[in-house]
Parts: sequence; C-alpha cells; structure tokens
Amino acid sequence: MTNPLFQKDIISVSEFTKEHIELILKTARELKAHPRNDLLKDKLIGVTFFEGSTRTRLSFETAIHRLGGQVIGFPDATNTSLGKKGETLVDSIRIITSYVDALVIRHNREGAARLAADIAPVPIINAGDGANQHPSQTMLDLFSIYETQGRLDHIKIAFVGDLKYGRTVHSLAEALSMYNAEIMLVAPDSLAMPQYILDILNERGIKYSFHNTLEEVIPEVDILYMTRVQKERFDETEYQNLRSKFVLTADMLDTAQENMKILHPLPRIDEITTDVDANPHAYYFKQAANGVYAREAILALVMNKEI
Amino acid sequence: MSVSKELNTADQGHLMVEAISNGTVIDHIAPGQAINILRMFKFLSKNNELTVGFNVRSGALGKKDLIKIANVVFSPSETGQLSILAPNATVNEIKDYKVVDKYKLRLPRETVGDFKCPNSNCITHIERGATPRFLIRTDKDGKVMMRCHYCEREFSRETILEYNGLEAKSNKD
Repeated sequence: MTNPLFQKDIISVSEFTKEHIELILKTARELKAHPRNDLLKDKLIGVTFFEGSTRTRLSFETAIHRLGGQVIGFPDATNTSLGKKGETLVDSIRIITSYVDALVIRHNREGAARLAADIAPVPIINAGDGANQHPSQTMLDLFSIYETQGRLDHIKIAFVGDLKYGRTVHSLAEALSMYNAEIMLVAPDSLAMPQYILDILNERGIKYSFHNTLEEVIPEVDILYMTRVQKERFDETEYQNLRSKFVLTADMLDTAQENMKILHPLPRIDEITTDVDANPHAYYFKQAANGVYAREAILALVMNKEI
Repeated sequence: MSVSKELNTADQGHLMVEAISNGTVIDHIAPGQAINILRMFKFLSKNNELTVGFNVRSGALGKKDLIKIANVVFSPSETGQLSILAPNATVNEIKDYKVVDKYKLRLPRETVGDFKCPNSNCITHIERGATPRFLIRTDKDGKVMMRCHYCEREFSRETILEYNGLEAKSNKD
C-alpha cells in the first residue's frame, strides 16, 4: 500500500494528521534501530538554504547520505543568482527542481516553502520559512518525546523562554494539541505565547496555564522545553533580570520527576548552564542527534511508495 | 420588477435617483461601507454613470448605503471581493430597466489577489509570482477570519481591510 506521504510536500505541521505523525515516528524508530542505505539510492536531493542554518542543513545532508542519496545545494544565498543577480525565488525553484528528485528549502520569508511547493514538479520539504514552520524540527521534538516517555498522549510539558518568536514552540504546541497535552507556559510578558496559538489550544480544549518561574513547573512536567531568550531584544538591566528567572541550573532539578527530560531546539546560549549537560534529565544533545532520524524518515517516506 | 420603482422614491423624500438602463445596484450595504466599495473597485475613476447613497433610511437595517453603477456587471470573483466588504448586501443586475438577477452576498471560501498580506515578512511582499491568497472561515464567535495561503498567519477580516486601506463594517456593527 502506498504510504500517505509518498511524493507529498512537507510544508506545515498544521497539515499533518495523527496518522502522518505516527508513520514518521515509527519510520524514524525503525531507521534508528536498523539503518538503511538504499532508500534514496539513485536519488538526487537539492538542499537549498537561502538562509543559513548549519545544524539543520548538516542534519538533512547527513540523513540523505545515510539513506544512500546524493546532494546538491548551497548553504546560504549570498553567492547564488538570487542573492547576487536578483533572480526571483520562483525562477530559482523552477530551475533547481528540474535537476532534483526532491528539494529541501530554507528561507527567511514566511510562505517561501509553500510558494516553492505550488510551482515545483517534485516534492518540497520545508526546512524553515521565517517565523512560520519548521516541520522536521517538530517531528524530531515529537520523536524525542516519544523516545523518552514512550508515548505522546497526555504529556505534561512546560515551554520556557521566548514563546513569542519561537516557531518550534508554536508548531510543537499545535502538534501536541492533537494528543491531549497539558501545557505550562513560562515567559516574560513581552515574549508571551501569541494569541493565535492559544486560540488553537482553546478550540481543541487543551489545558494550559501561565507561570512565572521555572521552579514552579519543574516538579510537574514530563518535558521541560527550554528556548533561548535573545539578548538583543532587551536592554541590559531587563535582560539580567529575565536571565535570572529563565536560566536553568543543575541544582534546580532536584525536584524533577524521574522521567522528566529537558529539550531545547539549540543553539543553547546561557539559558541552560553547562552543569546541566551531565544531568540525567538533559536530553537536548540526543534530541539534536534524533533530528537525523526524523529527517531520514521524512525523506524516506516522501521518496518511497513503500518502505 | 422595475428598479425605478424600487429606488426612485422621491415621494418619500429620502432618495431621488435616476434609474439605470443597464448595470448593477448594490443594496443593503452596511452604512459607511459604500466608500470602501468605490475605492476597491475604483468606481470613481471610471466614467460610468454612478449614484451612491449613504445612510439611506431602510426598514430592515435602520440605515444602509447603496450604489448604482451603469454598465458594470460583477464577475464571480468580483462578487467574492464585494462580499468580504459588504456581507449581507444584495446585488441587483439590471438590463433594460429590469432586474434580471438578484442575489444576496455570501462570504467566499477564498480570495485571490484582492488583498495584501498584513505580515510584512510574508513572501508575497517580495515575489511577484506569489499572488496573495486567503482562505476564509467564520470562527465559533461568528468572526470572519482570513488565513494567508503562504505565511499561514490568520487575521481578522477587519485587520486585512484596515491594512489594505479599507474599513470593515458589517450589518451587525
């Protein structure tokens, strides 16, 4: 039977059904346990990063190589015709997608991946479009939650830090709302979760609550999802004040439940001190490693009728 | 039905306009909204005979706006645009002084190329190949919401109209 993601564009988590999510996670688990180097055999995948992102690009390229595929592309648009000669994105996409079997695209503008998908004859995989979507990140987050908790249903999760601009938080909250999650929000007022995400949670009957400190939520949750508070958004005094409230240190973890794991989309700056890294609750580096399996699963499903 | 009979109600002292032989009469527009329709369809820059009524007395609504424009017939997509500006208005298509078609507007499911996206970082602002497109839904409180096909941001109809230099008014306001 043809898998439902075969030859499909992967643009937005909002288009995923539970069936899609579970298929990707199951495939990721299988590929983690039993690596396959034949699923992209004879396939050429474009990896075009109009906006740079080293970790995501290397993770996709690793996934392609591990599945036996080949890669063409560029790490940023500076030296492309688009960057230098003013070629439109539409023209660039038309040309590149005439060479490749699928295209991974990252762009700083919201909607760029959808535009590419509308005109491309091959599947498009969104590797981040501005502040909008980054579906492979959401899948690796869900994969990490499943790996550490053995389930997705009824997860109690706290999102901490920049909940306003952090698209990973928005997409993950939206995805977990399909699984009756209970969500705790810890953020300064100026970086609070946008209303449109709260509207989605309300519409789906998801329980959420607001909290002022990390200490309040640590004993309660299965997953502590940390994000970076960007220093440049605040003046120095305000930043130091926020920093003291939203920085996780190892001594704060004594009250955590045994199963609790700390996730972070990385890069981590100073919101998690390095003494947490060796703590058994820390999972963020393994989470980044899981990114390769989640991306392998997406690519394998998009490029193979059956696996 | 004769349009002149419906609209030339000079005897009641609140509206006196010439009937048009061919064209369209948009009736039951929410008060204040006619100006936005004129702007959106650039009626003022056309040479067509045009009559506009603001705050005309109306039994059903208390007050209403109305527009009569000669030699203009709305296409289905234009009707869609019109229905975002003036939900619940009535469109009368006139031929030889007779109403040949009459329908009440309903919100379309989608609008393409009619409004710019209020998200300044949306791809539609830099790519000429990306025509702004919104999916339209009514939320559980009856509020009209418009979601950009590209950037996926959802805006209230009021935000979209305001961003596009128009003003939202509905018959419920």
